[in-house]
Amino acid sequence: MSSLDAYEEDMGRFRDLSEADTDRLMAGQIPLEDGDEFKELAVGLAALKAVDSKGTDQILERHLNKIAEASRVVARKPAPEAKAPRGATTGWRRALRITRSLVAKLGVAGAALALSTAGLAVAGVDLPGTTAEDTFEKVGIELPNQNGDETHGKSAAERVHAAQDAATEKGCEFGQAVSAAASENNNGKSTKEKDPCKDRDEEEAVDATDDGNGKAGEDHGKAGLDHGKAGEKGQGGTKGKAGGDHGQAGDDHGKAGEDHGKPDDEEETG
Amino acid sequence: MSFGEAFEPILNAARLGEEWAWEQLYRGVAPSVLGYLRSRGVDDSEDLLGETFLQVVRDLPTFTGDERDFRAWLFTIAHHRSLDAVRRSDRRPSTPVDSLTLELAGPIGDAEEDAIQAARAAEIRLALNGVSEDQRNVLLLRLFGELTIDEIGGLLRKRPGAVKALQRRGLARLRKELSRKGVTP
Repeated sequence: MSSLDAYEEDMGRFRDLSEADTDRLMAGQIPLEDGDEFKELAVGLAALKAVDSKGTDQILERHLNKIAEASRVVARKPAPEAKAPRGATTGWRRALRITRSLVAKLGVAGAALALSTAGLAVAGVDLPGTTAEDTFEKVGIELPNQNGDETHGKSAAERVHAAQDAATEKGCEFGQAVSAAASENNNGKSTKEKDPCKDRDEEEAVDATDDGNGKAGEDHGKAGLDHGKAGEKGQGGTKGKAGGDHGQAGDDHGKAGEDHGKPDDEEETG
Repeated sequence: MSFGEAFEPILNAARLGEEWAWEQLYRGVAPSVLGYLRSRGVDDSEDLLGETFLQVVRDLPTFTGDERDFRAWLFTIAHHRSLDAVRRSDRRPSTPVDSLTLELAGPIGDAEEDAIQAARAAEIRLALNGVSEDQRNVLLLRLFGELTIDEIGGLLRKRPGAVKALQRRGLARLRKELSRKGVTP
């Protein structure tokens, strides 16, 4: 029988050995089954364990001094904090973390919006609407380069309606006010450079003085005749005076036609 | 040696730096650790035993478990220390401890009996040279550490089935080596 055959035969024997007997053998005890076959091995292992494990009594003192000293040093140190595993995070903590993150993001976004708004205002941009302005005013900040009048921020339609409501009389000035409201620029200044009503009155007065053929002059003439005033002062003079009065009354635009004869009445009264 | 129910109080006292607790632990487990280191042929195995315990002291705050876990943990440290020591010495862990060393190592009772036992141990130690490194690791951890197959599998990073196979083949090889040398009990 070759050496390899003997080894295979031994392997077969150990394969047949139960777990319990293997444990006994490894503890240096003779297996219960086929004990004689493994006795030599069991006794040898027990001897090795007994012999090699001896001798600690002689070195105990030497080692124990170092161990005790090291353990006192370690005991004085605070124990390292165990970190909770990532998966152990509870649901409410996760929700709280998400909420905090969201609040922080919203805060940053709000601050950025406020800063950009203020930046635009400083840069001279007139911001639309009154919301932003009101918000800044609430916290005591006045945005620069913004219109200060009441109508600022209102739409053109709103301004026109406001002008219509404010007017008690309809006429040239009413039209002027509506026109000014509609064409009002962002700075609240009217684009009107000259007063068309005044110009028109002046032109009419000149026309009346020159030839008396203007409509206003005719009306005045008629009014003068009706009220019997023209007879004394002469047609042209009456017309001229009436035209002048009419021009003055024309400041009330439109109304002038209706109250055309009023100045004459006053004159007559006076 | 098993501490049983006394293990937990002893371990807690050791955590607090109580010297008496460390003495208990040392007396309880140091002999088997020293035997493991010696049988692996580690030079200065006694110094290595001291280093192993110092590492246990340092790492004890991170340890959790019962007595079996503690034993497995202790032998894991000792095993890795021995690997480093063998690498450092760059020699095979097969040098038998001579009889003089064995006599100096421990108390001697019956001189004749001790001599016979020392001779048997020496033969087994020589026979261990005939087994593979993995087989030797498994056999010695089973013998000195009294670790289970699963515990050894965790220590050596092997599957339990592989550890069982290593144990079986190691024992068969050891038995064959003993019979070839003609050692008789």
